[in-house]
Amino acid sequence: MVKSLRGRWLAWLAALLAAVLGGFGLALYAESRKARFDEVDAELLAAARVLEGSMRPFSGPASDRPLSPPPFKGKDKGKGPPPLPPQELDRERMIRGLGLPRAFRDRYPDIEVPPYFAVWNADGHRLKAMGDAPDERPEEPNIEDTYYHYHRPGRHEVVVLGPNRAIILVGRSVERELAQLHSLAWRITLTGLAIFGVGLLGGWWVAGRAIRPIAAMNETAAGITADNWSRRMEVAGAPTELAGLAGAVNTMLDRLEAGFVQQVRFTADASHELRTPLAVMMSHLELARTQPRSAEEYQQTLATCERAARRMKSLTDGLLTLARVDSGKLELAAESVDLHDVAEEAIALLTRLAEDHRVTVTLAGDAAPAQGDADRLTQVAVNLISNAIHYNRPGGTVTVTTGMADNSAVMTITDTGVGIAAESLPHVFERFFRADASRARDRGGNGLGLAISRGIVEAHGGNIEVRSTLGAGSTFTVSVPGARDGGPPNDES
Amino acid sequence: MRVLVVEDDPDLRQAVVRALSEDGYAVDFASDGADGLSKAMSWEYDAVVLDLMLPEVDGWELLRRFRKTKKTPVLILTARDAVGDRVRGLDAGADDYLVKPFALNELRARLRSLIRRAAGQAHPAITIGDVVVDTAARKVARHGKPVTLTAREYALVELLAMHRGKIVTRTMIYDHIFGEDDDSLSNLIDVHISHVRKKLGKDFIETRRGLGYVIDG
Repeated sequence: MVKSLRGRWLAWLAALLAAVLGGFGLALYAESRKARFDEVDAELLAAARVLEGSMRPFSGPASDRPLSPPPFKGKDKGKGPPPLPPQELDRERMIRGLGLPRAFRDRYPDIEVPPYFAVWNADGHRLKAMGDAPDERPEEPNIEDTYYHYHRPGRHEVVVLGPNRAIILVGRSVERELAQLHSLAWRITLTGLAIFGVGLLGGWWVAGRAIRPIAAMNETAAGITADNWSRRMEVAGAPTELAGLAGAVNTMLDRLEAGFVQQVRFTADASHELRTPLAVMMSHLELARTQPRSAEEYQQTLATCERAARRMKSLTDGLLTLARVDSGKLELAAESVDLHDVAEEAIALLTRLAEDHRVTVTLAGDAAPAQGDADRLTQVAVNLISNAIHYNRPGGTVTVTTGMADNSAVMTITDTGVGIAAESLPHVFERFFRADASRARDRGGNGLGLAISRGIVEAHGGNIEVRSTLGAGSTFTVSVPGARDGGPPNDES
Repeated sequence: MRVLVVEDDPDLRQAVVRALSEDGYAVDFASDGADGLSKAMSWEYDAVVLDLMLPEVDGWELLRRFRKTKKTPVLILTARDAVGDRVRGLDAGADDYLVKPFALNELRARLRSLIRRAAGQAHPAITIGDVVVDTAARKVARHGKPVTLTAREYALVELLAMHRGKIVTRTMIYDHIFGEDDDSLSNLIDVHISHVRKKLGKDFIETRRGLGYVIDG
């Protein structure tokens, strides 16, 4: 199988050209042959009609009697038919005197094999023969058809019904015509082959031109690397069909580039987040080893290193969760869970933090039963409520409300904190996004909390939204599909 | 020598501050950019260690405002390791760039080098008469024999040696060898001076009454 587009294109072109040229050549040859032989036949027929006309004066009215065979045909001499009436004798003389019409002879003055003719009577006796005429009497033509062509190899012959059911045959050799047709066939074949060759060359050239934009696109695509995303396919100058492809490829490249840039930034951010606790560990360990330290100082170093290690663990846990979310492999228990209970547990876990920040956390609303993973949903609640505490002001409040809305279990967390700037709002769920470069560092946040929360909620088939007013506070709303019956937990079905 | 450490991560800041203090530096610190900038502008530090990701005022902005008037060497200490970040940092006026995680030893060596260069001393060892001050090893030798100095005493000798031939005022000594948390009673300088004279010779440090002190004047 030909792999190259140009080769395939050319193979199709070759097949098409061969079919067209072959068909055309055959039709041309057949038409020429028919025209040539029709002409021959017409001439022969015309001659036959003239012969028949010149015989007609001897035919009596309604005379069906066969014409007499020539008396000079040797063996039959003596026991021939009865003597002819005088009228018939005249006829015989006349027949013997028959010759090819002058016009016919004039037509072929220098023919190698001259035309010939023969006349048979109704009994099958050959009355007259000239030239290369056949010995056997041809079959009698139909009355309606009056003539037909009687072909022997290399000859064309016309047979017509003459007076008294006599049969007149006029023929001539068509060797010359056959030779001409043979030569014509050769010329058609050679011309066809030449056209075929030129067509293929032209096709090769045209195919080359047609695939040139593809080659250009190929070159462009090859020029795009991780370091250089700037190149794009030429759309304006490309043919319509390829412009569509180029546009589609460009769109795909844009998406790829965005994904790549995002990936690079994510990796840089993740490594950045890992570097700081690593730096803490390395510097404290190095410091501890520069000189002998007291047991208390060693304890302090160990405590610091443990904090740093926990930070790294939290980060790697977060990255792992996100990787599972991305690959759709986040395993979620499908248990009956009430968001009200979830919020209650999260608040209990964060009591100490709330006290430290002098923030009051209140829980309101009704049961919000859903199907889901209680631990993961608690993780979401803890993330959101601890954010609400951290970004609050001293003496502020965090209000958690749960309930059902449109068959969804909903939990809203409203704080009275610093709020989020409008331009930051669309990005808060992005990984490592921080409205303030490192405010979050104080609380050991790693910039993944909201991204993970969104991942978990979306894996539950729910969604998470945020509204915020800068300086007044933010509201995060989590909704997950509610349990169908809204019934109590423990239904095992 | 007095340095300022601007770093928002408390654990890391603590390690750097302690390491530099143990080397005899007077160390001030700031945990956000605004505090860092106000300190950097109000004191004559010998070097500044600067993180880039800072609350309030980030490291770039701090450096930009600081460089309008100050020539103090600045070492950027950051987790941002991209080449673009390093170039941007150096072009913004930083003198050195160290990526986290780092070895404290390297940070120390780079700071020494920055301070030495800023004082116009290319060679790490400064020879004054029969005394050699090895700023790399932070050791002093007299007649080829090592002399044991306390960190403060060494800092005093180094400060004077870096400014050899020039008068170093008492204010400069306060500014450069005592941190903001040190108890800087004025007579302490006299105590340190007399200790150094005992160890390195009576005439090693000259007193210019009413002006200050000078080495090799």
